[in-house]
Amino acid sequence: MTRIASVGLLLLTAGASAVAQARPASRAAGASLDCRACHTSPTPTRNNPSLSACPRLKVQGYHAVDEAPPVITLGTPGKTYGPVKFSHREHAHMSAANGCSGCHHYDQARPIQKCKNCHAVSRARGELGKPDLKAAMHRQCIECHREWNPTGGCSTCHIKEGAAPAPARKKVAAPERIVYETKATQGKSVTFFHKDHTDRFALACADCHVQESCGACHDRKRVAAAQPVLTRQTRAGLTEDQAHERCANCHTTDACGTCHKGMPSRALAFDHGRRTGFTLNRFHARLDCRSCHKGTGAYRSLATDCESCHKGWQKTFDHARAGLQLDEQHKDFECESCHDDKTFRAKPVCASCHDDKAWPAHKPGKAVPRAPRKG
Amino acid sequence: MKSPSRRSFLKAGTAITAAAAGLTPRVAQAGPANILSPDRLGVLVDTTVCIGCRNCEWACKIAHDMPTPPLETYEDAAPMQEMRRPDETALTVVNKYDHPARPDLPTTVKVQCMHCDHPACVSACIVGAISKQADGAVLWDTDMCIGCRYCMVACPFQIPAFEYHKAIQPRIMKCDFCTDRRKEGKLPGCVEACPVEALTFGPREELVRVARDKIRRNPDRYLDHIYGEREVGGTSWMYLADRKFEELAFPKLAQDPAPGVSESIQHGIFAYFVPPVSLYALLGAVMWTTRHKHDDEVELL
Repeated sequence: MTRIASVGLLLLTAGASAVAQARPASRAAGASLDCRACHTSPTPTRNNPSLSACPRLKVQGYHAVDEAPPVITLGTPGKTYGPVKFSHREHAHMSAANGCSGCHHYDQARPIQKCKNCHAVSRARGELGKPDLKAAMHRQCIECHREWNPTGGCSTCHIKEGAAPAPARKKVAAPERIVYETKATQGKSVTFFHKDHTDRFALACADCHVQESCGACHDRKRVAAAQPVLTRQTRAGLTEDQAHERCANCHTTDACGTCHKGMPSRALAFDHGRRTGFTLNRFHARLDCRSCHKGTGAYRSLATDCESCHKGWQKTFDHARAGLQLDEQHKDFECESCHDDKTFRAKPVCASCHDDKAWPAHKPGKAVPRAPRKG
Repeated sequence: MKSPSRRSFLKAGTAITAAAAGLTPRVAQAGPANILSPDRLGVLVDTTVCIGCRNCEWACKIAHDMPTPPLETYEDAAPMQEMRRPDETALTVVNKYDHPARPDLPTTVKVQCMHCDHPACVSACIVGAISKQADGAVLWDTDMCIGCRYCMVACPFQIPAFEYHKAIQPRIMKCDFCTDRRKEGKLPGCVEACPVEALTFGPREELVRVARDKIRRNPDRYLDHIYGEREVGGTSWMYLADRKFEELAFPKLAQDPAPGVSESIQHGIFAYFVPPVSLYALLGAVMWTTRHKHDDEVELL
């Protein structure tokens, strides 16, 4: 069991890295990926993988949720109850289901395995360590459904012969703002602009609300009418990391003043590199978000090669500005001759021409002070 | 200092008697010959998985041809409002206990005969109507039972029930581990009916391994205690929980087999019939030596 779990985790990590780099060919690079990029805990387990809630590092399944089968009929008619008409796609969209991975654990990067490939059809069996098929399926459903509707019996899902199906649930009304009453020394009230975030970043519920209880959104006690502003008390006994976990998925926590008004730091709190895979260099970090993510709608992801924003820059680029004056032999080469990655972040390569030279021991020119940025 | 209790007095008495007869008390070995098979069967009940649907109660009645209400009626959780014990009409019942962390979702616990490895009922039965089988089951034999109900008193889990309302041939009623069903190659009724496999049926040794593995992999989910692994010398049915077993009405029991002490006393007194024979021989000798004295006294009178 432990081996399967570790293989599953490896696949999850590999899948995540593939998405982060938007290039499946570079999957092998996943080996060097920091576990903390996907997992919030240093020891993720099968039951508590503690996946980080970042939309852009989301593990992608074999196919999109929208391509999932809409309805699956489970089981056969019994004496009392009919088979279950399981609204599969609708469930896959739910936050608690967390896409495909909520139920199809271990390996969703390949075609979905049949449950019975691992879970025995017969209850009388040799390997007792994992539940049989019937139990595995029931446990998947019941864990959420009991919490959502503790008094609902078998007939919640197994509709009796001839009876009408259960009515569809009401849509969840998302709040506009959530005010957290925190234990900070300054700026106790932290307002989270929920609607602003979902609109600007074009987020679906499940992008952030992963592995959450159904009741967190489908709050049975909450009145049907949307409450635009919710107030939440920070739970007692949380460490600083735990208290910041939600926000820290996308924001750096060292810029306190961004959320806790009155605290000193007011720097940009969005961790661009960790969230998007594109670390902002010192020049890009100074820019307003809208300088690159143009328009007024949600921020869209951009191509990461320089050319996509800096059109034709190579023709006029003065290499000395990067801190190296190219010598006569090198100055007329195409950029790609030495820089074999489009983002110019990797080490330049000498080996395509020189067998005995390597950066940075050998430089194709003279080191000069970096030019300050114009304007 | 505490005055000696009745038990310690009896213990001492036994030791003296046994020593006098040249025997060593065998407290550790309880019951007759050890017939426990290493492959004996059991059931692991995971109370963290149980959803309290009571399908096991229904299936148990079906399996034993007892009057059974329709399955839908078991969706009503009302009977669980009060604590129940298995009785002559229901060999297993599910009880619920409020969970401190989740007010809506109580812990539910199935109760039935634990099928002890060293059963107190077997030890207490004076006619041998209850027996421990090699496969783990503790079975009751209708032909031998005289209705003394000692088994009911002896059971540390208060399981055996009696058909008080029947004047003729009342039976002792308790879980029989679905021995008839298992002979047909079927699983016990409750195990087959459980929708979430909160009841795992298999060789007891394998179940202990599975339970340990569950605890190791989910230390937050389980209390590090398999109830029944060691209690009263081990039971065939074992339980996992996320909270103290005393909170779930499990009796707090020692690891010694329940019949251990009582049997060592009884068996010691009667071991190989030497102590009673010696006692009567001694008494006979006293009578023999004092016989003539009495004769003289009678003559004088």
